[in-house]
Amino acid sequence: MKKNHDKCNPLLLNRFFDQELGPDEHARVSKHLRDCPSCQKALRENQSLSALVADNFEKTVSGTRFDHIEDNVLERIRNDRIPWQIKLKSLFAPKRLLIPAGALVAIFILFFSLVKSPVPVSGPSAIINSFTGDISSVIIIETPESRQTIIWFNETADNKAG
Amino acid sequence: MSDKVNTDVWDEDRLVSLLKEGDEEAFRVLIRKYQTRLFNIAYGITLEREESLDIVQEVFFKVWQNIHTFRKDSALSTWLRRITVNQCLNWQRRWKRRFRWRHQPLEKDEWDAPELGTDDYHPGKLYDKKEIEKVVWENLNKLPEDARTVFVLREAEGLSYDEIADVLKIRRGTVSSRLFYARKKLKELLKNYYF
Repeated sequence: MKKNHDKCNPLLLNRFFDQELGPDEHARVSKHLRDCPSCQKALRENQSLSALVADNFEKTVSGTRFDHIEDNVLERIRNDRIPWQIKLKSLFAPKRLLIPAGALVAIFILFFSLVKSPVPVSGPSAIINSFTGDISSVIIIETPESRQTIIWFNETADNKAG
Repeated sequence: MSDKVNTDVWDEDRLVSLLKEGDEEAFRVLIRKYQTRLFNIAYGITLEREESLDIVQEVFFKVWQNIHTFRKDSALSTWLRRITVNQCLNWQRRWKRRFRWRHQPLEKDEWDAPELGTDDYHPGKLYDKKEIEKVVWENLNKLPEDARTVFVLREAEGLSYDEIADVLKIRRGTVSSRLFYARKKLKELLKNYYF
């Protein structure tokens, strides 16, 4: 092994075993393996270990009963099924939006607390229309800022009807 | 329980959108498709059969509660594995706090007894099989938590380095070094038995 890259590299061998090397590195390790008994041995040990562990997992799974998982989970799901809660959760799901949204609300509150509410302008108001029917009466009042409509019902008419 | 569900015909997009709608059949499919795989991860980390079954149940329930937060940044399987690993590590931390971690992990009487008269029924063989299983799990238990988790994801699930990195949110180089360490350590621990 004259060249540096031909030296044994256990980490690289491990990645070779896992097929995680690029084509060049793979070819280099393959070439090295042909003439390196210790790396060949290490590779065989990796294979044995992998087979041993896989076999153990298989045995454990085959000796385990999974049928109650489905029943238990579905039962819990049914008990937990409250649609409005889920909808509420999904509304708040993007947590990353909560902080900006909170900041925005705070700015609005601050803004409106600092800005003085408009001073009500006292001025004349005028009844611009009104009419009275059997059941209700309507009156429309106009002020400098707004136009308001007031409706009221005639209770006497109701009592008579009753 | 319906046994007619064919988990193969449900593609992931359809499964996820039905899960988000709270479709019970979709949950049934999800459980059947992933329960064994998630159990393998849980068992590899906790080495406790009953606890692993509980953890898997908890994972599926968490999926039900949080499926609306799943935004397909990664595959559904990656998300499930991530929840499972987190559940296992939380479970371990709870046990460590109670000073009960590293107790005898193997269930002594819960393996399939071979039938009388078969080749498997030989006292020496029975001892060997049980012994091998026991030694492997015991030594896996001796690995540090982070190395064991990477090793289990690789050996039990056959995940690539990138997939493991994605599940555990670590770098690919870290996966490689932890895996190397886990194998090296296990080979040392099992040297008297196999290597």
